[in-house]
Amino acid sequence: MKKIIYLGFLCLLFLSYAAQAQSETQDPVNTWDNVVAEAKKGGYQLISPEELKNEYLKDSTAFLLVDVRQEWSYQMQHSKGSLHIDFAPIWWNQYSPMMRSEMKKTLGPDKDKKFVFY
Amino acid sequence: MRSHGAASLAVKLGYKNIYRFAEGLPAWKEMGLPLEAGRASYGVAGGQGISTVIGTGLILTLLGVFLGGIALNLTPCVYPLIPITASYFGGRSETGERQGYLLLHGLLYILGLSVMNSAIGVSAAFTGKLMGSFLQHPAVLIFVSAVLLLMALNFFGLWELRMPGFLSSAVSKSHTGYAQSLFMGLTLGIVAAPCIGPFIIGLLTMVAQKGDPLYGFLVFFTLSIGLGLPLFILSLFAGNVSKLPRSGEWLIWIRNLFGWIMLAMAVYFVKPLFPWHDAGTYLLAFIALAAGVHLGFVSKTGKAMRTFLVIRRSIGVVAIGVALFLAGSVLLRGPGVYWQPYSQETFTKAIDAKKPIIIEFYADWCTPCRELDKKTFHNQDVVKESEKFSMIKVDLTKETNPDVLQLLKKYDVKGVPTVIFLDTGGNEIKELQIVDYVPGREFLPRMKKALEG
Repeated sequence: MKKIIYLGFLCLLFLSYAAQAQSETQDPVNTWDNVVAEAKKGGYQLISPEELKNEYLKDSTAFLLVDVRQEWSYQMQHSKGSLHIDFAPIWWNQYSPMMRSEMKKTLGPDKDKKFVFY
Repeated sequence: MRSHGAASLAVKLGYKNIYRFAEGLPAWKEMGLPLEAGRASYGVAGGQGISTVIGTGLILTLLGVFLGGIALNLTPCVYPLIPITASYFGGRSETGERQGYLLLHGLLYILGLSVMNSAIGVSAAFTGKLMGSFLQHPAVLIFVSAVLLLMALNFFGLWELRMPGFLSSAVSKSHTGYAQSLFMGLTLGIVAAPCIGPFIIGLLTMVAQKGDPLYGFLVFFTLSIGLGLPLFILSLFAGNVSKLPRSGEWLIWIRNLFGWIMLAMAVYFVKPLFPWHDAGTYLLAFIALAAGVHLGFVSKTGKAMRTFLVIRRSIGVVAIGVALFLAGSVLLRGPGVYWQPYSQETFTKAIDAKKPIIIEFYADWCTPCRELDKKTFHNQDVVKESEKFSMIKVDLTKETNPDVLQLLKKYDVKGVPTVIFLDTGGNEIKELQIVDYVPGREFLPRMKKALEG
C-alpha cells in the first residue's frame, strides 16, 4: 500500500512538471489604458511629450528628470542634466532598503520638488 | 514598467510632485531636446545590488537557508550540545529566574549567533565585490568544488576534521550571566564548525559571488535564526530536554545527508565548466537519485525507530523526485544552444574562427529573454544550426564594464533582449537584428541568411 502511495506521488511530481513545461506564459499587453491605471495605482501623474517640452523650454530648472533605465543605457545617452537610478523592474525593488535609500539620496531632501521619471 | 515602479516608490517615500514620462527618451529625442552621455555627475551610480535578485527566488533561497539552519541542529557537532545548552538554561530557571529572564537569555543567545554569522556574511559579500570576476575564474571554481568534495567525504566518514585544541578549551571556559548566553551564541559557530563549516563555506561562496552586503546579511541572519531557533524554544521549556530522541546512529544518517548535499554543491559550482551543456544537470540528477536510494532505502541506520524510518523514506522519495525533475527538465526540453559568456578574449577568438557570430544581450530580470532561452534556443533546428555559428551571450544584469559599453555603442543596442548577427568578417548584418522574443520559426531564416551572407 505504502509503495503505491510513493509511486503515485512520484508520478504526480513528474506530471505536474511536464504540464508546467508545456504551458505557455503570456505577458500582459502594455496599452495606454494600462499606463493610466498604473499611474492611478502608483499615486503619481503622467506628463505628455508636449507638456514636457513646453515646460522644459519655459524653465528647464523648474523640475528634474530622473532616468531609471539600466546603467549602460544611461551612459550611452540620456536627457541633459537628468539624474540616474538603475531601477530593475522587479517587485522586490519597492521594498528593498537599498533601493529606498538610493532613491532618497538621489532625489534629495526636498519633498516638494518636481521630478519627471522616464 | 521601470519608470512606473520608480515613480510609485518615490510617491511612497513622500515625494509629492512626481510625474512619469511614459513615452521616454525616444520621444524626448524626437522633440529635439538636449541630450548628453557619460556617467551620472550627480546622485548615486550603479548600486543595483540585491535588486538584481529576483524576488521569489530570494524568498525561496532564504526559506531554504532557514530550513538548512534548523537541519544543522541535527548534525553530530550541534545535536549533543542541545542538552548542554538547554540544561544551562534549565539551571537558570532552577536558580529562580523567572520566565521573562529566560526569554532574555534565549534572545541574547540568538543575538550572539546572528551577530557572528551576519558579520561573516557581510564581509564575504564585500570581499566578493572586490574579487568580482575572480570567483568566476575556472581555477577558483574547481578549487571551491574540490573543497566541497573533501567536505562531502568528511561527512561520509572517510576522514575526520578536528578543531584546534586551544579553541575548544577557550570556548568551554565558563562565563556568567547574560554575557554567557551571548557568548554561547557567539561561539556556537566555532564549536559546530566541523559540521556546519562545509555548509557555511558553500553559502559564503554564493554570497561572495553575488557581491551584495545586504544579501550576505539576509542569508546569514536567516541561517542564524534557523540554527538558533530550536535551542531558543528549548530554553523556554528547559524541562523538556529528556523528551528529545537520544543521539545515536541516526546521526550518522544525517551526516550522510549533508554529505550528499555537499556533493551536489560541488557539482553545482563546476557546472558552467562542462563542455557539454547539459552534462552538469544530468550529473546533479544522478547524484539526487543516488542520494535518494542511499538515504531512503539502502542505509541501514535507524531500523528500530519508526518515525525516523518514515522520515528517511520520505526524504529518499523527495530526492528521487528531484532527480526525475532535473532529468525531465533537460529531456523534455532537449539540449539547448551552447553559449559562451562574453569577454574580449572569446570575442577575438570567435572572429578568428571565421564563423559567423550571434551575440545575445540579456538581463536576468527580463521576461522575453527567458522566453527566448526556453523556447527559441531550445528549438532543435535552431540548436543544430547554431553549431555553424559562434554563440556569445552578454549579461547586462550587472554594472557594465567599459568593454561591454563600447560593444553596446558599436552595435547600437538599446534594450534587452537584443540579438545581433555578424558575418564571417565580423561586420554586423543590421537587417537581421532582433530586439524582442521571436519563436524558432522566425529565428531560423535569419540564421540561414547570415550563413549565406
